Amino acid sequence: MKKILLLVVFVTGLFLTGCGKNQYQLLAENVKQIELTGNLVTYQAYYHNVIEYEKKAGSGITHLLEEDRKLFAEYTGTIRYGINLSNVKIEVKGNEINVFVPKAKIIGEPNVDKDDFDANNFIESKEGINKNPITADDSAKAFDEAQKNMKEAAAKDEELLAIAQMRAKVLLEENINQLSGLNPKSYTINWEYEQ
Amino acid sequence: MEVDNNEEKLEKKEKEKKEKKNSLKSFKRIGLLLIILILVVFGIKMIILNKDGDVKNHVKTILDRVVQKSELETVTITYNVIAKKCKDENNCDKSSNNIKDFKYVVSCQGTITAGIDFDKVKVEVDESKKNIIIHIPEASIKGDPNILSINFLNGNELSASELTNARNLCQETTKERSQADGKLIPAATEQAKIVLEGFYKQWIKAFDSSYTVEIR
Repeated sequence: MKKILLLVVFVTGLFLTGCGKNQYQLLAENVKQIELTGNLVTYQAYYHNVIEYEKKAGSGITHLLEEDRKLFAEYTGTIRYGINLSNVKIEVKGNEINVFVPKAKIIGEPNVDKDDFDANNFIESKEGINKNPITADDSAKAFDEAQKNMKEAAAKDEELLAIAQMRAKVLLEENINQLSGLNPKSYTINWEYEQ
Repeated sequence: MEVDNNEEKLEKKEKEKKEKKNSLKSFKRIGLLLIILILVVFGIKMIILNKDGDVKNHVKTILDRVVQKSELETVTITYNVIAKKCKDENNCDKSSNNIKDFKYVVSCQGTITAGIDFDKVKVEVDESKKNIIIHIPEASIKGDPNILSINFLNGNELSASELTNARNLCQETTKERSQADGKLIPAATEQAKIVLEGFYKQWIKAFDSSYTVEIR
């Protein structure tokens, strides 16, 4: 009877551990399934901004009596934040999983709405004999400047960068828990964040 | 002597028969136990599979967790506008783009908060097409704008008391502008969709790669 019991325990063990593999070996193998390539977008910020664009007076006879002018316009755009998954490091040691989460960054280029830079949308002073009018070139320059400003401001926005990194952590954690094949209480995840 | 021998032989035979019977019984027991064991293990696996098979509940449970941990319910949006103060409220064309037509024009820096009510999320599962569709409700603006700073674009000779009026003007203009902003709500909704798409794209591979997930 003892032999039978031993056999039963052995076979049960085989079934439950996946043909004799240690559960933490399985954990390591399962966690490896997480795809760590490409960018993971975790935040898309929408901006409604104001641009101040300086239009210099032109030179030559046609630009006589022109003055430098300041133009203002409202514009909108979106920008995406996320992490580069190839910089994530996941290491399984026994029942401990060490995860390194890289700092969030801007993914791609800002998506600024070009229609907001129509000459009619600029707020300006129209006084003067030769009013130094807004041209299509000015609209294009203001648009470029807005794109640049938006990217610079977004790159410095530590609050949004932190949210994007935190969201990446949540997604990684959920994926580890889904793929681990074990009760999340049976292992510990240690997080390291790039500052 | 011969009788003794026969008796001994008979005893031996009976012993052998008993042993055979016993070993048969043991084999039967082992067999039975193994069958029970297999049934139990498959039973457990079926329970787990059925649990996982309830895709809808599974998707919703994870969604609630991801939403809560990722703080997807609310989003703070930078909302900067230009506000115009009329010289004469009864005779004023606010659509004018000439700065001189106004008492002053201010650039207002502020934020607004948009929220998504995730209790209204709908999960649709099409078993035949192996497709999971998660319908995210539209975002909506929550509360009043928060004005952080103001910058006069003209009207340098304004009194300090005008600052409060200008701040109120910013508050009103930001509210009006954000409510009429056709791009704001889709963008606020999109930011939640992006996170969920990123998550479910990975999750579905582990859950059942024959499924596809769509976030709408």
